[in-house]
Amino acid sequence: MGWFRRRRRDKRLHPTVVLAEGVRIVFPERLLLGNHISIGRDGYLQARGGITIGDHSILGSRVVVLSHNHNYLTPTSLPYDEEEIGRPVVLGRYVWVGMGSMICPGTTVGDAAVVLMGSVVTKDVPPMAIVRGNPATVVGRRDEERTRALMEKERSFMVLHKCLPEDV
Amino acid sequence: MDLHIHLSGREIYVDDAVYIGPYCRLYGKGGIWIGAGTIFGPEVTVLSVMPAYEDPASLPFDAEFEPMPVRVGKGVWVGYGAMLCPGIHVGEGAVIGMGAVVTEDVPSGAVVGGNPARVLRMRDPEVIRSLVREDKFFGRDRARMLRRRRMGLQGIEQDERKKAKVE
Repeated sequence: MGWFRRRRRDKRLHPTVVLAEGVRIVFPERLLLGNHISIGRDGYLQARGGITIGDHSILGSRVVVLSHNHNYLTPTSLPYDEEEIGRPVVLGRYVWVGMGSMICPGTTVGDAAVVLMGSVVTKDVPPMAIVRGNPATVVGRRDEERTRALMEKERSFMVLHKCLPEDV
Repeated sequence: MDLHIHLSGREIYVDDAVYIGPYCRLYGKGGIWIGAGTIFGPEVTVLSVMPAYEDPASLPFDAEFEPMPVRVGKGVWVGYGAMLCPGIHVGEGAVIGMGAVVTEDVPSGAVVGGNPARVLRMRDPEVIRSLVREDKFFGRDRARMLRRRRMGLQGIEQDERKKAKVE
Protein backbone atom coordinates (compact mmCIF):
# COMPACT_ATOMS: atom_id res chain seq x y z
CA MET A 1 0.00 0.00 0.00
CA GLY A 2 2.81 2.37 0.79
CA TRP A 3 4.19 1.92 -2.65
CA PHE A 4 0.74 2.42 -4.13
CA ARG A 5 0.24 5.75 -2.37
CA ARG A 6 3.65 6.97 -3.44
CA ARG A 7 2.95 5.92 -7.00
CA ARG A 8 -0.39 7.67 -6.91
CA ARG A 9 1.36 10.87 -5.96
CA ASP A 10 3.94 10.30 -8.69
CA LYS A 11 1.18 10.04 -11.30
CA ARG A 12 3.08 7.17 -12.84
CA LEU A 13 0.24 4.77 -12.17
CA HIS A 14 -2.69 5.45 -14.46
CA PRO A 15 -5.52 7.16 -12.50
CA THR A 16 -8.02 4.50 -13.61
CA VAL A 17 -6.18 1.62 -11.91
CA VAL A 18 -7.97 0.41 -8.77
CA LEU A 19 -5.84 -1.38 -6.16
CA ALA A 20 -7.79 -2.66 -3.13
CA GLU A 21 -6.50 -2.83 0.41
CA GLY A 22 -3.73 -5.23 1.36
CA VAL A 23 -2.31 -5.84 -2.12
CA ARG A 24 1.33 -6.80 -1.83
CA ILE A 25 3.57 -6.06 -4.78
CA VAL A 26 7.17 -7.22 -4.82
CA PHE A 27 9.50 -5.48 -7.30
CA PRO A 28 6.85 -2.95 -8.47
CA GLU A 29 9.27 -1.52 -11.02
CA ARG A 30 8.87 -4.74 -13.01
CA LEU A 31 5.07 -4.65 -12.95
CA LEU A 32 3.49 -3.19 -16.07
CA LEU A 33 -0.16 -2.20 -15.64
CA GLY A 34 -2.49 -0.95 -18.35
CA ASN A 35 -5.53 1.27 -17.86
CA HIS A 36 -8.86 0.47 -16.13
CA ILE A 37 -7.49 -2.42 -14.06
CA SER A 38 -8.86 -3.62 -10.74
CA ILE A 39 -6.88 -5.79 -8.30
CA GLY A 40 -8.83 -7.21 -5.33
CA ARG A 41 -8.03 -7.41 -1.65
CA ASP A 42 -4.97 -9.20 -0.30
CA GLY A 43 -3.54 -9.98 -3.71
CA TYR A 44 0.10 -10.92 -4.05
CA LEU A 45 2.04 -9.97 -7.16
CA GLN A 46 5.62 -11.23 -7.17
CA ALA A 47 6.98 -9.29 -10.15
CA ARG A 48 10.59 -10.39 -9.82
CA GLY A 49 10.57 -11.85 -13.32
CA GLY A 50 8.14 -9.30 -14.79
CA ILE A 51 4.33 -9.18 -14.86
CA THR A 52 2.27 -7.46 -17.55
CA ILE A 53 -1.46 -6.89 -17.08
CA GLY A 54 -3.48 -5.63 -20.04
CA ASP A 55 -6.21 -2.97 -20.11
CA HIS A 56 -9.67 -3.55 -18.56
CA SER A 57 -8.60 -6.68 -16.65
CA ILE A 58 -10.16 -7.51 -13.28
CA LEU A 59 -8.37 -9.59 -10.64
CA GLY A 60 -10.46 -10.83 -7.69
CA SER A 61 -9.46 -11.05 -4.05
CA ARG A 62 -6.45 -13.06 -2.92
CA VAL A 63 -5.12 -13.63 -6.42
CA VAL A 64 -1.49 -14.73 -6.48
CA VAL A 65 0.77 -14.14 -9.47
CA LEU A 66 4.33 -15.44 -9.31
CA SER A 67 6.91 -14.71 -12.00
CA HIS A 68 10.09 -16.50 -11.03
CA ASN A 69 11.08 -20.05 -10.29
CA HIS A 70 13.91 -21.61 -8.33
CA ASN A 71 16.36 -24.03 -9.85
CA TYR A 72 15.40 -27.19 -7.95
CA LEU A 73 17.11 -29.62 -10.33
CA THR A 74 20.48 -28.43 -9.10
CA PRO A 75 23.25 -30.75 -7.90
CA THR A 76 24.63 -28.23 -5.38
CA SER A 77 22.07 -27.90 -2.57
CA LEU A 78 18.62 -28.91 -1.35
CA PRO A 79 15.81 -27.99 -1.99
CA TYR A 80 17.10 -25.42 -4.48
CA ASP A 81 20.09 -23.11 -4.99
CA GLU A 82 20.70 -19.37 -5.35
CA GLU A 83 19.74 -19.18 -8.98
CA GLU A 84 16.43 -17.51 -9.74
CA ILE A 85 14.88 -18.14 -13.10
CA GLY A 86 12.80 -15.15 -14.19
CA ARG A 87 9.74 -16.34 -16.10
CA PRO A 88 7.52 -13.41 -17.05
CA VAL A 89 3.75 -13.62 -16.77
CA VAL A 90 1.49 -11.85 -19.27
CA LEU A 91 -2.22 -11.30 -18.62
CA GLY A 92 -4.05 -10.06 -21.70
CA ARG A 93 -6.80 -7.45 -22.00
CA TYR A 94 -10.33 -7.93 -20.60
CA VAL A 95 -9.16 -10.87 -18.47
CA TRP A 96 -11.12 -11.86 -15.39
CA VAL A 97 -9.22 -13.81 -12.73
CA GLY A 98 -11.52 -15.21 -10.04
CA MET A 99 -11.06 -15.10 -6.31
CA GLY A 100 -8.17 -17.05 -4.83
CA SER A 101 -6.67 -18.11 -8.15
CA MET A 102 -2.96 -18.57 -8.67
CA ILE A 103 -1.00 -17.87 -11.83
CA CYS A 104 2.20 -19.90 -12.14
CA PRO A 105 5.44 -18.43 -13.52
CA GLY A 106 5.87 -18.25 -17.28
CA THR A 107 2.21 -18.44 -18.26
CA THR A 108 0.25 -16.24 -20.65
CA VAL A 109 -3.46 -15.64 -20.26
CA GLY A 110 -5.12 -14.63 -23.52
CA ASP A 111 -7.48 -11.68 -24.14
CA ALA A 112 -10.96 -11.90 -22.60
CA ALA A 113 -10.19 -15.21 -20.86
CA VAL A 114 -11.92 -16.15 -17.60
CA VAL A 115 -10.07 -17.93 -14.79
CA LEU A 116 -12.67 -19.32 -12.38
CA MET A 117 -12.38 -19.24 -8.61
CA GLY A 118 -9.49 -21.06 -6.94
CA SER A 119 -7.85 -22.23 -10.16
CA VAL A 120 -4.13 -22.81 -10.47
CA VAL A 121 -3.04 -21.79 -13.96
CA THR A 122 0.02 -23.82 -14.93
CA LYS A 123 -0.15 -23.57 -18.73
CA ASP A 124 -1.00 -20.87 -21.24
CA VAL A 125 -4.69 -20.00 -21.46
CA PRO A 126 -5.95 -19.33 -25.01
CA PRO A 127 -7.91 -16.13 -25.70
CA MET A 128 -11.62 -16.15 -24.72
CA ALA A 129 -11.28 -19.51 -22.92
CA ILE A 130 -12.88 -20.25 -19.57
CA VAL A 131 -10.65 -22.34 -17.31
CA ARG A 132 -10.99 -23.80 -13.85
CA GLY A 133 -9.47 -26.36 -11.47
CA ASN A 134 -6.05 -27.30 -10.22
CA PRO A 135 -4.28 -27.64 -12.63
CA ALA A 136 -6.54 -25.38 -14.70
CA THR A 137 -8.27 -26.94 -17.72
CA VAL A 138 -10.44 -25.34 -20.38
CA VAL A 139 -14.14 -25.88 -19.56
CA GLY A 140 -15.73 -23.46 -21.99
CA ARG A 141 -15.32 -20.64 -24.42
CA ARG A 142 -16.81 -17.20 -24.84
CA ASP A 143 -18.83 -16.37 -27.93
CA GLU A 144 -16.09 -15.18 -30.23
CA GLU A 145 -17.96 -12.68 -32.43
CA ARG A 146 -19.76 -10.99 -29.57
CA THR A 147 -16.66 -10.78 -27.45
CA ARG A 148 -14.65 -9.35 -30.29
CA ALA A 149 -17.34 -6.74 -30.97
CA LEU A 150 -17.36 -5.74 -27.29
CA MET A 151 -13.58 -5.49 -27.26
CA GLU A 152 -13.58 -3.27 -30.35
CA LYS A 153 -16.10 -0.92 -28.76
CA GLU A 154 -14.13 -0.94 -25.46
CA ARG A 155 -17.24 -1.91 -23.55
CA SER A 156 -15.61 -3.08 -20.34
CA PHE A 157 -17.08 -3.26 -16.85
CA MET A 158 -14.52 -0.88 -15.48
CA VAL A 159 -15.33 1.78 -18.07
CA LEU A 160 -19.11 1.41 -18.14
CA HIS A 161 -19.45 1.55 -14.36
CA LYS A 162 -16.80 4.25 -14.02
CA CYS A 163 -14.83 2.32 -11.37
CA LEU A 164 -12.22 4.71 -10.03
CA PRO A 165 -9.90 4.45 -7.02
CA GLU A 166 -11.93 6.99 -5.02
CA ASP A 167 -14.93 4.62 -4.90
CA VAL A 168 -13.06 1.76 -3.18
CA MET B 1 10.74 -17.87 10.34
CA ASP B 2 8.97 -15.01 8.71
CA LEU B 3 6.13 -12.76 9.88
CA HIS B 4 2.47 -13.60 10.57
CA ILE B 5 2.91 -17.33 11.09
CA HIS B 6 0.01 -19.02 12.82
CA LEU B 7 1.08 -21.94 14.99
CA SER B 8 -1.19 -24.02 17.16
CA GLY B 9 -0.69 -27.19 19.20
CA ARG B 10 2.40 -28.14 21.13
CA GLU B 11 3.84 -30.81 18.94
CA ILE B 12 5.68 -29.00 16.19
CA TYR B 13 9.28 -30.18 15.87
CA VAL B 14 11.47 -28.20 13.51
CA ASP B 15 15.01 -29.19 12.61
CA ASP B 16 17.73 -26.63 11.84
CA ALA B 17 18.16 -24.56 8.65
CA VAL B 18 14.41 -24.54 8.08
CA TYR B 19 12.65 -21.51 6.58
CA ILE B 20 8.93 -20.99 7.06
CA GLY B 21 7.41 -18.24 4.92
CA PRO B 22 4.89 -15.53 5.83
CA TYR B 23 1.22 -16.35 6.54
CA CYS B 24 1.95 -20.06 7.03
CA ARG B 25 -0.47 -21.98 9.24
CA LEU B 26 0.76 -25.05 11.11
CA TYR B 27 -1.85 -26.84 13.23
CA GLY B 28 0.40 -29.12 15.25
CA LYS B 29 -1.99 -30.86 17.63
CA GLY B 30 -1.22 -34.30 16.23
CA GLY B 31 2.49 -33.72 15.66
CA ILE B 32 4.41 -32.11 12.82
CA TRP B 33 8.02 -33.03 12.15
CA ILE B 34 9.98 -30.85 9.72
CA GLY B 35 13.40 -32.06 8.56
CA ALA B 36 16.58 -30.01 8.15
CA GLY B 37 16.92 -27.63 5.22
CA THR B 38 13.23 -27.61 4.33
CA ILE B 39 11.77 -24.42 2.85
CA PHE B 40 8.08 -23.53 3.18
CA GLY B 41 6.81 -20.82 0.85
CA PRO B 42 4.18 -18.27 1.91
CA GLU B 43 0.64 -19.28 2.97
CA VAL B 44 1.37 -23.00 3.38
CA THR B 45 -1.15 -24.88 5.53
CA VAL B 46 -0.35 -28.09 7.44
CA LEU B 47 -3.01 -29.98 9.41
CA SER B 48 -2.25 -32.89 11.74
CA VAL B 49 -5.53 -33.91 13.36
CA MET B 50 -8.65 -35.43 11.88
CA PRO B 51 -11.91 -35.06 13.81
CA ALA B 52 -13.90 -38.30 14.11
CA TYR B 53 -16.75 -37.47 11.77
CA GLU B 54 -17.83 -41.04 11.11
CA ASP B 55 -20.28 -42.20 13.77
CA PRO B 56 -19.81 -39.12 15.98
CA ALA B 57 -21.54 -38.22 19.25
CA SER B 58 -22.38 -34.77 17.87
CA LEU B 59 -22.61 -33.17 14.46
CA PRO B 60 -20.71 -32.40 12.30
CA PHE B 61 -18.03 -34.07 14.42
CA ASP B 62 -17.35 -34.67 18.09
CA ALA B 63 -14.59 -33.66 20.48
CA GLU B 64 -12.38 -36.66 19.75
CA PHE B 65 -9.59 -35.62 17.46
CA GLU B 66 -7.55 -38.41 15.99
CA PRO B 67 -3.88 -37.40 15.86
CA MET B 68 -2.42 -38.02 12.41
CA PRO B 69 1.20 -36.87 12.49
CA VAL B 70 2.72 -35.22 9.42
CA ARG B 71 6.36 -35.88 8.66
CA VAL B 72 8.24 -33.68 6.20
CA GLY B 73 11.68 -34.99 5.22
CA LYS B 74 14.95 -33.14 4.73
CA GLY B 75 15.46 -30.58 1.97
CA VAL B 76 11.83 -30.36 0.88
CA TRP B 77 10.49 -27.31 -0.95
CA VAL B 78 6.81 -26.56 -0.41
CA GLY B 79 5.53 -23.96 -2.88
CA TYR B 80 3.20 -21.00 -2.39
CA GLY B 81 -0.19 -21.81 -0.88
CA ALA B 82 0.21 -25.60 -0.79
CA MET B 83 -1.74 -27.66 1.76
CA LEU B 84 -0.61 -30.84 3.51
CA CYS B 85 -3.42 -33.09 4.74
CA PRO B 86 -3.24 -34.99 8.06
CA GLY B 87 -1.15 -38.15 8.30
CA ILE B 88 1.06 -37.81 5.24
CA HIS B 89 4.77 -38.35 4.87
CA VAL B 90 6.81 -36.23 2.46
CA GLY B 91 10.08 -37.84 1.39
CA GLU B 92 13.52 -36.24 1.25
CA GLY B 93 14.15 -33.67 -1.47
CA ALA B 94 10.56 -33.58 -2.71
CA VAL B 95 9.12 -30.48 -4.39
CA ILE B 96 5.46 -29.56 -3.86
CA GLY B 97 4.12 -27.17 -6.47
CA MET B 98 2.15 -24.01 -5.77
CA GLY B 99 -1.45 -24.50 -4.71
CA ALA B 100 -1.10 -28.28 -4.47
CA VAL B 101 -3.28 -30.21 -2.03
CA VAL B 102 -1.24 -33.21 -0.85
CA THR B 103 -3.54 -36.05 0.24
CA GLU B 104 -1.18 -39.03 -0.06
CA ASP B 105 2.42 -39.81 0.81
CA VAL B 106 4.99 -38.16 -1.45
CA PRO B 107 7.97 -40.36 -2.39
CA SER B 108 11.51 -39.06 -2.00
CA GLY B 109 12.58 -36.72 -4.81
CA ALA B 110 9.13 -36.43 -6.42
CA VAL B 111 7.82 -33.21 -7.93
CA VAL B 112 4.08 -33.06 -7.25
CA GLY B 113 1.29 -30.63 -8.07
CA GLY B 114 -2.47 -30.26 -8.52
CA ASN B 115 -5.51 -31.08 -6.40
CA PRO B 116 -5.26 -33.90 -5.40
CA ALA B 117 -1.48 -33.80 -5.88
CA ARG B 118 -0.04 -36.12 -8.51
CA VAL B 119 3.59 -36.92 -9.28
CA LEU B 120 4.72 -34.82 -12.25
CA ARG B 121 8.32 -35.97 -12.43
CA MET B 122 11.11 -37.45 -10.34
CA ARG B 123 14.46 -35.98 -9.42
CA ASP B 124 17.64 -38.02 -9.53
CA PRO B 125 17.57 -40.07 -6.26
CA GLU B 126 21.37 -40.49 -6.26
CA VAL B 127 21.91 -36.70 -6.22
CA ILE B 128 19.42 -36.22 -3.38
CA ARG B 129 20.97 -38.99 -1.32
CA SER B 130 24.46 -37.54 -1.70
CA LEU B 131 23.30 -33.98 -0.93
CA VAL B 132 21.53 -35.11 2.24
CA ARG B 133 24.58 -37.14 3.27
CA GLU B 134 26.89 -34.16 2.73
CA ASP B 135 24.46 -31.83 4.56
CA LYS B 136 24.26 -29.40 1.65
CA PHE B 137 21.11 -27.40 2.26
CA PHE B 138 20.30 -24.04 0.80
CA GLY B 139 18.89 -22.84 4.12
CA ARG B 140 22.16 -23.73 5.88
CA ASP B 141 23.70 -20.42 4.94
CA ARG B 142 21.37 -17.87 6.49
CA ALA B 143 23.46 -14.92 5.31
CA ARG B 144 23.35 -16.16 1.74
CA MET B 145 19.58 -16.52 1.93
CA LEU B 146 19.09 -12.97 3.14
CA ARG B 147 21.48 -11.65 0.51
CA ARG B 148 19.54 -13.47 -2.16
CA ARG B 149 16.35 -11.78 -0.98
CA ARG B 150 17.85 -8.33 -1.20
CA MET B 151 19.58 -8.91 -4.51
CA GLY B 152 16.87 -10.86 -6.30
CA LEU B 153 16.38 -8.33 -9.06
CA GLN B 154 20.07 -7.77 -9.60
CA GLY B 155 20.60 -11.51 -9.74
CA ILE B 156 18.10 -11.86 -12.55
CA GLU B 157 19.66 -9.06 -14.53
CA GLN B 158 23.04 -10.74 -14.18
CA ASP B 159 21.48 -13.97 -15.39
CA GLU B 160 20.05 -12.24 -18.42
CA ARG B 161 23.43 -10.76 -19.23
CA LYS B 162 25.02 -14.18 -18.86
CA LYS B 163 22.45 -15.74 -21.17
CA ALA B 164 22.87 -12.97 -23.72
CA LYS B 165 26.60 -13.60 -23.75
CA VAL B 166 26.05 -17.32 -24.29
CA GLU B 167 23.71 -16.67 -27.18
